[in-house]
Amino acid sequence: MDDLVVRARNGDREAFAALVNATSDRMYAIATRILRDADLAEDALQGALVTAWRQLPTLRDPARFEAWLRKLLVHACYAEARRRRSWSTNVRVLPVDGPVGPDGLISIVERDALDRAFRRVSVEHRAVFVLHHHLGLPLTEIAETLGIPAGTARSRLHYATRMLRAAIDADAAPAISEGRMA
Amino acid sequence: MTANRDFTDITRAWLDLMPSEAPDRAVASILQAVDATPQAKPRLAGPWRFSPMFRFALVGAAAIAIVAGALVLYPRLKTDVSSPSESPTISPSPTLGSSGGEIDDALRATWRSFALESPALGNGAGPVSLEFSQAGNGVAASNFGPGYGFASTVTPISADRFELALAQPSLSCAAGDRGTYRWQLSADRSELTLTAEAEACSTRGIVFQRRWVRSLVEATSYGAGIVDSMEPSFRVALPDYSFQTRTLNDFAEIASPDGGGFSLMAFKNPVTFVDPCSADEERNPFTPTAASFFEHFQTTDAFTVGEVTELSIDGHRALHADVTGKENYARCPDHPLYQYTPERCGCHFIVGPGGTDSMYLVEGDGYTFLFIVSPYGSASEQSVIESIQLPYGLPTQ
Repeated sequence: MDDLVVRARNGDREAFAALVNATSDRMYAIATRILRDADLAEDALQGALVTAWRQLPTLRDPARFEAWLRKLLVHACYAEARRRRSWSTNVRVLPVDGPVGPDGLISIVERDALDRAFRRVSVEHRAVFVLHHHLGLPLTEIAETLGIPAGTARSRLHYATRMLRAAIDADAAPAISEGRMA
Repeated sequence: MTANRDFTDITRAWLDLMPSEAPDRAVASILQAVDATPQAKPRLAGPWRFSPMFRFALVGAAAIAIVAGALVLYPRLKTDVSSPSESPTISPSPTLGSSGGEIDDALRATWRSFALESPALGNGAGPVSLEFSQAGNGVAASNFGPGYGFASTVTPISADRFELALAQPSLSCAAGDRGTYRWQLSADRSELTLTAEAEACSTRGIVFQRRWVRSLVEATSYGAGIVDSMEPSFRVALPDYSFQTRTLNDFAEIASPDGGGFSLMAFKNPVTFVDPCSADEERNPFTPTAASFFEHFQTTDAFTVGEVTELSIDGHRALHADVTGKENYARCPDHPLYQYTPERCGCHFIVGPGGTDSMYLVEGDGYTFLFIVSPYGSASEQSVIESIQLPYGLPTQ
C-alpha cells in the first residue's frame, strides 16, 4: 500500500482509486457505526476520501496513510453529524425485526436499547467508543488519531460505556424483577 | 440478562450488526468526485494554483443542480465572459521577488467588491471577486471582463506589502509586469484595502486597488465577512475558525469542521410543512412575518416552542424562540419531524426527537431570514446574531 500512497501523493489518480477500493469498506464501517446512518456515513466517507486526495501531498509518511485517513474520516463524521445539527439526534433507527446478533448474543430489545442510548451520546463520544470496541484500538492510539489528550479519550469512552451499560441494565431490570416474583 | 454475558461482547455484537461494506455507488461517487478535484500542492513546492472551488462533496444530480443553480444565480457583469479556466490553468510563475515567503494567512480567501463602470476596462458595474490562492503565492481577479483577471504571483516584501508579477500577458500588460501593493485589514479581518504603490500594469491597478470584503461562501480561515449566495447578501462575524460553506437555493451553511462543529445556517423565506410526519412535504404558504412562522410550531403538537421574544437585528424586527421536536411523538415516533425549508429550495430540514433549534426570524422588506447557530447553546450565538448586517451592500471603491 505504501507504493500506492507514494504514487497517489504524486498525483496518480489510478493509484488513489486503488487506495479508495482498498480502504473504503473499512472506513465506511467506522462511519456507519459512529453516525448510525447509512446516508450520513456515505457522505462522511466521500468527504474524507476527497479531502485525503487533496491533502495527500502533505502526508510525509506513507505508512501512516490509513491512520491519517481514519482521522480525516472521524472529523468528517463530526462535520456530518453537525452539518444538520438535529441529525445528531436523528439517526435512522435500525429495523427492529432484523436478525438477531451473532450467536444470539444480543436480543432485539437490547439492540433497540443500545440504539436509543447511542443516539443520546455525542458524536465525539461515539467515535471513541467505536474506535475502541469496533477496531480494538488502544486509548493512546485513539487519542493520537483524534488529536485529543489520552485522558479525554478515556473519559469519553467511560461516559459512552456508562450510558450504554445503563441502557442494557435498565432493559434487564424487569426480567430480574419477574424472576423474583416467580 | 446482562449478568450472564459480558458487556463488551454484547456491544461488539451490536456494533457488528451495522454494514461493513461501502455501497458500490458510494465508491463510484467518490472516484467521480476525486476526478473532479485538483490535488493541493505542498507549499513552496513548484507552481501554484488556486484553491479548488470544491467544498462539500455532494453527490450526483444534487451536486450538479446546486452548482448549476449557483452559476445561474450569481450576479455577473454585463461584460463578463471570463474564462473559468483563467485562474486554475495559469502557467508557472515567472521569477519571484527576492524576499520569498508567503502572504499573511488572513489574505488567503476570496474577496468581493462592487466595481463601477470603468472606461479603461470597458466594463459595466457589478460585483467582482479577488482570490488569493490557499498556498498564499497567487492572486487573480474575476468578473471584470475578458482578459482582466490579471493572475499574478504574489510575494511579500514587508509586513504589509507584497509584490505582484503578472503570470502571463494580458490585453495591455506583459508577463512579468510588477506591481507593489500595500494591504490593510480591518480589525475583524473582514475588509481588505489594497493600495498600489508602484504598478507597471496600470489596468491591474484599476482592478486590484480597491476595498474588498471577505466572502464566507468560499473557503476561508476567518469568520467575518459576507454571505452573498442569497439575495440580499448579509454580513456576519463568526468566530475565527476555518470555514466551509454549503449552499442550496436560499440556504447557506457556514460550518467549521475544525471549530467544534460550529456553524451558522441561514434560510431566506422559510416555509413550514403542513404535516411534520408526512414525506409528501406539503408546504404552508410563505408569509413574510416572523410571528406566523412561529405560530405554526405553536399550533402543531409535534413541537414544543419556548418563549417567543422580540428583538431587533440590524434595525429589523426579529423574533427568537427555541423550537424542540417532541420525543416519541405519537404519530411518527422515532422519526424525524419535517420542520421548514426555504421557499425556493427543493429541500427539507428536519429535526430528530428531542432536537432543539434556537431560531431567529428576521423580518426584512418583503422577506424573512431564519438564522440558526450551532451547536445549540453555543457561547458565540448572541455575538454572531448581533453582528448580522442585512442587507449588506458591497464596497464600491
